[in-house]
Amino acid sequence: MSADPRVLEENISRLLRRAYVPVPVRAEFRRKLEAEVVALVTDPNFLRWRILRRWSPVIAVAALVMAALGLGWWLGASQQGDLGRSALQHSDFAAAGGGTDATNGLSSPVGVGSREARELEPPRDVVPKTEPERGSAPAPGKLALEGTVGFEDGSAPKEFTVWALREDVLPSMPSAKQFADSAGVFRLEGLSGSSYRIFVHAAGAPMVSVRGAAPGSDRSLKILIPKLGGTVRGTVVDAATGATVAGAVVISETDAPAMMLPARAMDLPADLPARCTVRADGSFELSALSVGVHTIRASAPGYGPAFVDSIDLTAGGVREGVQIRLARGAAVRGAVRGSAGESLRNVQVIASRTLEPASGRLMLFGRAVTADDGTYRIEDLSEGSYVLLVFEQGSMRPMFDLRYVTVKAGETLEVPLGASAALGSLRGRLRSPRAIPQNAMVTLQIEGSARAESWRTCPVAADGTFESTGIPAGTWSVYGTLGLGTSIIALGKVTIASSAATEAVFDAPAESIRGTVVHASNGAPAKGAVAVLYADDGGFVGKTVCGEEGAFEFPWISPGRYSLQILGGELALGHEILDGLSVSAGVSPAPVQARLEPAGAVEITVVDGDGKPIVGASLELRDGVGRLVRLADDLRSGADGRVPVRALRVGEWTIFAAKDGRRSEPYRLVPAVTGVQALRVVLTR
Amino acid sequence: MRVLDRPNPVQRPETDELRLRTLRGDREAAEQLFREHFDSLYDFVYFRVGRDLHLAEQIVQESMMTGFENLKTFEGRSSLHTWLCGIAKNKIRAYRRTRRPVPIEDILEDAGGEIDAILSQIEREPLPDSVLQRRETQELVGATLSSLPPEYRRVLIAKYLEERSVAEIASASGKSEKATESMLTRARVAFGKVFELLAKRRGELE
Repeated sequence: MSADPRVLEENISRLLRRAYVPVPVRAEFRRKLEAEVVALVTDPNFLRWRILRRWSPVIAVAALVMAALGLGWWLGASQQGDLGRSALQHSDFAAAGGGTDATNGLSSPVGVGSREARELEPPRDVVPKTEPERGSAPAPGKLALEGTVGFEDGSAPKEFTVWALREDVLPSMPSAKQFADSAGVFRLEGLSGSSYRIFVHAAGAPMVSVRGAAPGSDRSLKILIPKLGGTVRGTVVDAATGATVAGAVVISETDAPAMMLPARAMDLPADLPARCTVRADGSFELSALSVGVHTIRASAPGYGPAFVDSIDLTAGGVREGVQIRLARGAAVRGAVRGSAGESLRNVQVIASRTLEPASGRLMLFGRAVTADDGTYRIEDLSEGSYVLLVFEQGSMRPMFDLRYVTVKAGETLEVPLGASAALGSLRGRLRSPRAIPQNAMVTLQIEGSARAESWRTCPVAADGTFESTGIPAGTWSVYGTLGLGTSIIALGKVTIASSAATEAVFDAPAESIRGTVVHASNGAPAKGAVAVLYADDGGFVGKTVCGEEGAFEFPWISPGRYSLQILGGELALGHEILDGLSVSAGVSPAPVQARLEPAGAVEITVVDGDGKPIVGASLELRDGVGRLVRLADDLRSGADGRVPVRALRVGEWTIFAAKDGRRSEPYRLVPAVTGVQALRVVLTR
Repeated sequence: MRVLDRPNPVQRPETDELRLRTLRGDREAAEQLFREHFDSLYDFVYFRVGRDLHLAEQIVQESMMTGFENLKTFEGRSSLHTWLCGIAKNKIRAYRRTRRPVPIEDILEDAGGEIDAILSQIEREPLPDSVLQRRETQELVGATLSSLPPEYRRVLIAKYLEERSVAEIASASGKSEKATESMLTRARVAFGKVFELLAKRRGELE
């Protein structure tokens, strides 16, 4: 039958009059969404994480392997000479104290039968078991967090934003939500059963953050926004010329509700709460900062980011005269090639770095996508050591081994990635009577003179096999890496030749050294304390983080004698040294227990004979019986000659400073538990 | 005259001008652009997520935010409504992989690619009263409207639900009566074709 417009119209009229049911829409939802959408496009202060949202799949995977970033930091503590460099760049900070803020405390491998073996299961919402589809996100958690926000006078902010950031070794994306006219009440949903750091910001008020918030709890969080925050004023200059750098971006890393931020200024979110732009005269002011210790960062095109650490702010306090010196940016470039030498276009190359200032771990990254010829370039990096990862677009698994490189300010480092016929490869196997733990990795560290690339990491299969390709020739130390990078065990050495495949088997014995660490004051587990194992000759054997019950374990230990240094840096606890641990074939020593006492802190300033600060001087700390204590990977003075040293056990210490072959006279110190002492060490020519 | 519980703006400035003003940070333009597209996007999503209110809000919120955040990338190769619906479709697909879909969503998903192709065809028989009273018909009406371009949806509702005259509709939209009449004709044809497609897919109408 042919169409009849009159019939059609009549039918439509009847249908709409009699069969149309309006779709129900909640007016409140509509109103709020409109406000949010309009604010998104019109309000420059609208709080959104555009860059981080776009990159969240990449960052989630980078988080998986960035636990291995700690390896560069940790391996530096264990080596001599040139290998003593750590991931921390000395010029960035007055060196951080020892220890780690790892909260997962993964320490014991699966299959050992330890009560804490379950901790090694990867967090499902960070490391998916199967590769997710392009563009999709992991399934959200099921728990909620509720609370109220208010000012000191009892009123509530009209609008405020709440971020929930998981407290984890691995970086995570914050959950953020804005609230308006809610009488200060907030509720965040879709969280997992973990602890979170909650950030709250209302326009014009200082940022507030609360740690250890547990979703799913019956208790509602009560968050008080103080009336006054702190202010930091200063200048940003070119480190080489002293010229001001107008237009640089200055942020407080401490008040950034994120665990990872881009290194480049242009990639920093425009809506970070604590952010300002340097004026034409080079000056800047960051106000309404939270009370506490801040790390301030400046970034500008053509420069690497630079940091000033340990800025302690009180309510209403002002810190003047902070000078941030920007060095020329470093770059990493190269080409990514496949196994047949073909160019790999449109893959992502990430350069990521972990720093450990006094205010807490921070991570930054640079990124590039390869061109049609497979080339990439990542710019505006600060001098220091980075992990390079390569991902296919939309994939959450690195395509190749992790590569660890060190770049200098103003230089461009050529780093070919992927396969290369001119380089060597290693096919290895861990031979162990015990099951290989899930997520075990092998890390290789080059020996000999310092090189731009000094270590790399590859996964280990369940049968103990692993393969690493594109390895420069040389002798490499091999470490087993467990607990997503929070535990490392020395396995041996291997020599790699160019253009050759090397095969090697590494024994991973069944014996282990294990124990627990507690607070001496009350016997509570010292979760997060760091245990470092040395052979009798002082050689580094392993390093791990104590878990939930303060427990640690070093598996795969060969027969011999060992000593343990237990460090309680982040816990403000002093160290303990346990000597004479004996391992025989088939016999592991009895579990040990370390009791850590409260410790003091000292700020050491290294100066020359004229009183001028010395940059890059190293510190040597010896305890009351003259033993060398390695409280941190590398204690060196920063740009102002300062070195904050934490976790000094009460007792007598002898401190030396050294640089360029010079060594200071010994300085004796007895730290107090409360407050921070100051010590001036003179290093003369 | 039926009282609708939602606004149905007929008067609308040129969408692309609104988009450009929005990109320049014009708050009023942003509000108007939102209001122009919210209802149609919401309807589109609602029928494609099993009429799950909570899920519809989630998808609409994500789609709107994604759309407005990427407004500058809109190239004008389709209408803004189609573009926003495309964003919503992707989000719905991602969600639906985790659950078993209910029939109307299946039909809409399957029909999605063909709706546009049908808009130029006409075939209709008078519908029996009994059909009009069926819940399934109500679903089809809502689903059909949700699949139409916003301007078609607006004029059909203005004409047949709000019972406005062509002159009133033309005056409110700033168009001529002839242009409005032409728009109504096209809207009716489109409605007919989409409705027929969905009905055939479900196999319950003669």
